[in-house]
Amino acid sequence: MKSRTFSRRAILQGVGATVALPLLDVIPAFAQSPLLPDAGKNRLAYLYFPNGIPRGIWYPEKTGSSGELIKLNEWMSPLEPFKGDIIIPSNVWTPEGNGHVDGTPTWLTGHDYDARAVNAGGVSADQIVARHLRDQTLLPSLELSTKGEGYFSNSLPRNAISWSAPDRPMTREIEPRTIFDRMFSTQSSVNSNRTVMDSVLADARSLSKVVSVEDSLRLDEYFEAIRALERRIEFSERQSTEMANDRALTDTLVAPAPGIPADHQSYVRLMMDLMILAFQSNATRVITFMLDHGQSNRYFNFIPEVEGTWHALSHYQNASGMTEDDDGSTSWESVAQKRDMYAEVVRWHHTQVAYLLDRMKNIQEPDGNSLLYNSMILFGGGIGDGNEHDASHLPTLLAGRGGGTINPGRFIEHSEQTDLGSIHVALMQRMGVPIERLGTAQTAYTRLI
Amino acid sequence: MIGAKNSNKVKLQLFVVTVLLMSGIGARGQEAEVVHELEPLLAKNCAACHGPETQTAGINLTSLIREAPLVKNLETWRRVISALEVGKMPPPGAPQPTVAARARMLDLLRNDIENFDFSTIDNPGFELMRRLTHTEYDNTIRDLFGVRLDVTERFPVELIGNSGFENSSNTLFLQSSLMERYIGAAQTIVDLALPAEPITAAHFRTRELIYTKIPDSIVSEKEASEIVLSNFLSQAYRRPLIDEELLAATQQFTLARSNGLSYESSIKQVIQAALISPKFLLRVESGRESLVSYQINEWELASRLSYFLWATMPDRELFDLAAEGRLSDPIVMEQQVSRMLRDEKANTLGDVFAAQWLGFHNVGTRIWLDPIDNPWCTDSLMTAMRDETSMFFMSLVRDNLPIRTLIDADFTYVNEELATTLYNIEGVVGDHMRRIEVSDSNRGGILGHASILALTSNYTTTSPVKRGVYVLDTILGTPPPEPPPNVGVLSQELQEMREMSFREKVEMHSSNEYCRGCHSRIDPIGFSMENFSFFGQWRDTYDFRVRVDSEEEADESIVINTESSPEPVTIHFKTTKRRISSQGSLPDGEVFDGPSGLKQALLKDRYEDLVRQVVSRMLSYSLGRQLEYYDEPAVRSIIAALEENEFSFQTLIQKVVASYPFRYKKNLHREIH
Repeated sequence: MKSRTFSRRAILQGVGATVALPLLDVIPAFAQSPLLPDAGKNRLAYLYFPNGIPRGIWYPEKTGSSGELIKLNEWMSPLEPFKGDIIIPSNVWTPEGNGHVDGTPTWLTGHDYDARAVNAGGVSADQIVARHLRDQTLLPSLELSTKGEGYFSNSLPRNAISWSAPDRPMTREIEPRTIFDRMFSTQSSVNSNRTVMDSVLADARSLSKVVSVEDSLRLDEYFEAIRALERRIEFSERQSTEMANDRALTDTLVAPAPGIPADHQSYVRLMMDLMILAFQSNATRVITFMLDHGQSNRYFNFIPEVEGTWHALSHYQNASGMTEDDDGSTSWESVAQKRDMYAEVVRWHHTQVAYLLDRMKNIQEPDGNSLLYNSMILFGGGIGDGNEHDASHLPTLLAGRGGGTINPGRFIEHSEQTDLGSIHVALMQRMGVPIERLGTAQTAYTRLI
Repeated sequence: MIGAKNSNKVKLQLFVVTVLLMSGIGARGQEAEVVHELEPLLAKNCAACHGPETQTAGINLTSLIREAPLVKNLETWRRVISALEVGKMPPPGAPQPTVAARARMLDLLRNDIENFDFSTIDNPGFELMRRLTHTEYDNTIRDLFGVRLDVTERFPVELIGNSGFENSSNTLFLQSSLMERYIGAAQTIVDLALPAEPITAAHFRTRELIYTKIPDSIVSEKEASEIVLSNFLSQAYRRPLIDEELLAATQQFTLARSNGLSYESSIKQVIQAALISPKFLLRVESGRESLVSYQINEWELASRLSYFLWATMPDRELFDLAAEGRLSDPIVMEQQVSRMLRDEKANTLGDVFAAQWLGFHNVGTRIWLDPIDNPWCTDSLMTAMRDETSMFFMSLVRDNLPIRTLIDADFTYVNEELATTLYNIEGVVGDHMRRIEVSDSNRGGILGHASILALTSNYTTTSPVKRGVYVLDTILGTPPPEPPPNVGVLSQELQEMREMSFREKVEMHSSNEYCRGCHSRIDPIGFSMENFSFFGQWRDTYDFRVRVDSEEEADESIVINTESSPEPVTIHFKTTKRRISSQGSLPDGEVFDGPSGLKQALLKDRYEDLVRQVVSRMLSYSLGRQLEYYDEPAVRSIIAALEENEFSFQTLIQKVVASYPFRYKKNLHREIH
C-alpha cells in the first residue's frame, strides 16, 4: 500500500541525541492511524520569530511577470529549493498591537494588547482552529517555544502568542521530552489517573455552589482543563489497541532525552521533528512554535562571523556597541557589517525552516500527497524593520498547499497595506472554520489561490 | 430575633452607603466642571491620535474623560500628566497647545486627581480565586507531607505580567497542560512521600504526619481511615470538611479497599485525588450574595495570612485559632503576625516578595555572565548576591527597622566569595552568609548591593539609563513615560559620555528634543552610581583598554595563536584611566555627588514616594492582584499609621493585614461606590 511506503524510521531521524524507552512500557497513547477519517486533512503551523528583519531582505531577487518566484535573494537562499512551495506577500501589517511587547501577544489575535488587564483582545487564530477541531485529535493544539535566554524570559506578553480566551494565554512547552510524553503517554499512568480524576470531579462540582459567580468562572477553567484531559484519555483508549498492534511504529518510537539540547540548531530541529511527528500521527493539527520570545537577547555567535545578541543586532543603525541595547563587549566596524550579521541570524532561521519543509515534503500521506502539500505553515513575526520597530512590512511567508487550496510559488505584491489578520482568516477557513473576520481584519485574504 | 437583627444590619449598611454617596455629591459637582473644561482642551490637542478615530497606544481620551471619577483610570491619567509635563505629548512636529493651555490641562488633571475625596469610596475589591503559584504549591506539599519534594521543577515557567508578582490572579492560568502536570505530580508525591516500604527517616516522618491513626484490634479500619482522611483533607483544603466531603472520601477509600487495594494504598488513592482537587489547587474563598462588602471568614483569613507571610498553607496554630473564631481578633492577629515573622518560613518575604519586587530573583538565571569568559561569575556568587538582598530585607522586617533603612543602612550580609570578589572586603572567611558592619556610606542599602547593580546593568557595562529608570520606577513608583514605540535605538554613546562633564552629559540628548524631556530626568540618577561597575565593584576610574601598535606604547602584551598566521602573534594593549565624575541629580532636584549623595537626596526629597511604593508593592503582593484606584484609602491609611510609628517595617506588615482590602471583599459585578 502506497500510504505505508514512507519510512517511519525517517520520522525520527532528526531526533538527535535520543534515549530509547523500554518498549514494553510505552504503549503509545495515540499515533497516526490510516483508519481515522480525518487523517490527511489540512495541518496548520505558525512559526513565530522576534526582532524583525533588516528592511528589504524579505523580497525576492527575481520574479516573473505574474509574480512567480524565480530567484530568492541571498538572505532567503536556504529556501531556494522550496520556492515553488511558498508564498511571500509584501506590505503586510497589523494596524494595532505592535513592537516587542504588544506585537507578540497580538500576532495571532489581530487586536491591541492591554498589559494591565493581561488581555490580547481576542482568541488567537490557532486557538480558534483548535477549538473547532478539538474532538478530532488527541491534543487540540500544541504550543511550543524555545527556552528563553536573558532578560524578559519570564515576561508574559513576550512569551504569549496563543490565547484560548482574550485574557488567557496558553502555556508553552519548551522541553522535547515533555512534548513527546504528551503525545505518547504510558498506558498505566493513563489508567490510574482516570480513577483518580473520576473521583475528584464529582467532589469538585459541589464547589461551584459555594463560590461566588466571579469565582465560578475561574472554576470553569478547571473543569475545562479536566474535560480536555478526559477527551484525550478517551481518545487514547480508542486508539491504544490499534496502536499496540502497529509494531512498525512502536518498534521505532524513540523518546528524546529529558532536558534541553545545548546546541541551538539541534534544539530547534528536534522541536521541528516533534511538530512533524505530531502532524504525521495526527496527535494534533494545529501547532504554534515560538522560535524565541518576543525580545530575544540570544547570542548567535555559533554562526560564523556573527557577534552580539539578536536584539542588539536588530538595532543595526548604531554599530558603536555602546548603546543601551548592547552587551558592552561587542562592537561592529560599520552599520553595514552589523546589518549583515542581523540578516545572517534571519538567514539561519530560514535554514531551519528549510529543514522543516524538506522533511515535510518527503513524507507521503495516505492520499498520495506530501505532508507539506496538506499543510499550511505561516512563518513570520510582528516587527518589520527591527531598527525602527516597524509595524508594517512584516516578514511573512506561507509554505504548503493547504491540501490544494493554495497556489504557491509566488511573490504577491500589494500596493496597499494588507492586514495580517486577513491572512489568518484565510488560513482558518482552510481548516474548516466558518469565520469571516479577526481583530482588525474584516475580510479573508483572497489571493492565496 | 435573628431575622430582625439582620435586616437592621442591612438597613444600617445601606444607610452608610447612602451617606457616603451623598457626601460625594459636592466632589461630583466639581468634577463635572473639570470634565466640562477639559473635554474641549483634550479634543483640540489630543483627540487626533487619542480619540474615537485613532487610539494610539490604545488610549482614547475622548471616552476616558467621560468615565467619572477620573481616578478610576488613575494610571492612564498619570501617564497623560507626565507626558504633558515633560513635553512628550503632543509629539514634536504635531501642533502644540499654548503654554497656558498646557498648564491649564495639567492643573485641571492634577487637581482632580490629587484632590479627589477617596473617603467617598467603599470598595475593598475582589480577589479572584487563583491557583497556587509553583512556589506556593511546593511549600504547601512540603508542609502537608513534611518533606521537600519540589515537583514543580519541570512545570512550565511562571510568567509575570504587570503586577510584577507571580502570585497575581490575572496571570495564574489553569490550562490542561498544567492540569496534566498536577495529575502527574500527585502520583509522584504519594509515591515518593509514602512508599509501601518506608526506608529513610523522612519516610517515617511523613507516615507519622499522614497516618495519624493506625487500625488495630480496638480501632477499626473504617474509624482509622476517617480520622486519617479528615485530618489530611481539612489541611489540604485549608478549612474544616463538610460532612458530604468526608463521606465521599470514605466511600472512595472503601471502594478502593473492596477493589483489592491495601489499607495504605486506598488511603493514598484518596490523597492523590485530593491533590488534584480544585479545593487544594485553588485558593478558594466562599462567595456571598451581597450588595455590600463583607468580611472574609476565619479560615480564609488564615490562608491569606500564611500565603502572604509564608507563601504556604497555615500551620496548626493558625488553624486552631480559626476554629476557635479568634484569629480575626485584632490583638490575636497582631500576635500571630509577630510569631509568623519570627518563623523561618517568613523568609519568603525576602526570597519571593522582595526578590520579585526588586527583580533580583533574576540574578543567576536571566542575569548572568558566561563563566568561561568570566570565571569569577560562579553559581555560588550569584546565590550569595541574591541571599544578600533577601537576608538584608528580612532583617529590616525582623528587626523592625524604618523603611529608610532600605536605602541607607550600616550593615549587610556577605560570605567570603561575595566579600572578596565584588566588595573588596577582607577578613570574611567561609561560605556562610553573615551580617557585617558597613562603614562605607556609598555601599549600605540596596542601591549598593551587587544584585541590584548587576540587574540594572547591560551585560558587562553599566547603564545610567537603566539605573535611573530603576530608581524612579521600581524604588519610587514614579515611572518615567514609556519611550515612544518607534524611537529606535537610544543613540547614547557611552564611550563619549565618559569623557563628558556632568552638564554635557545631562544635555547629551539635546540634539533630540524628543528624548531630552525624559532622559534629563532619568540619566543623572544613573550618573551618580557610575562608581559601581556592572556587578557592583567600586571603581574610581573608567579603564579603557585599547590595542596599540608597538610594544613601547603598551602596558600589556599577549601572545596568541591564530588560524590566519602560522606564527604566534603578539598583541599590545594600553590602558588609559579616566576619573569618574559621579555628580547626579533627581528630577527637579539639586546636584549631589555619588551614591551617598543620591541616597541622602532620595531620603530627603523623595521619602514619601519611597514609602508609598513600599506600601503599594506589599499590599499588592498580599492581595495577589494589582492595586486599583479604590485601594487608595487603604494605602493612605497605612501610610498614616507608618508616619506615627517611625515607618517601621512591622507596622507596615501589621497594617497591611489589618487593612480593609485584606480582610474584606466585595463582589465584582455589583460595584457601587
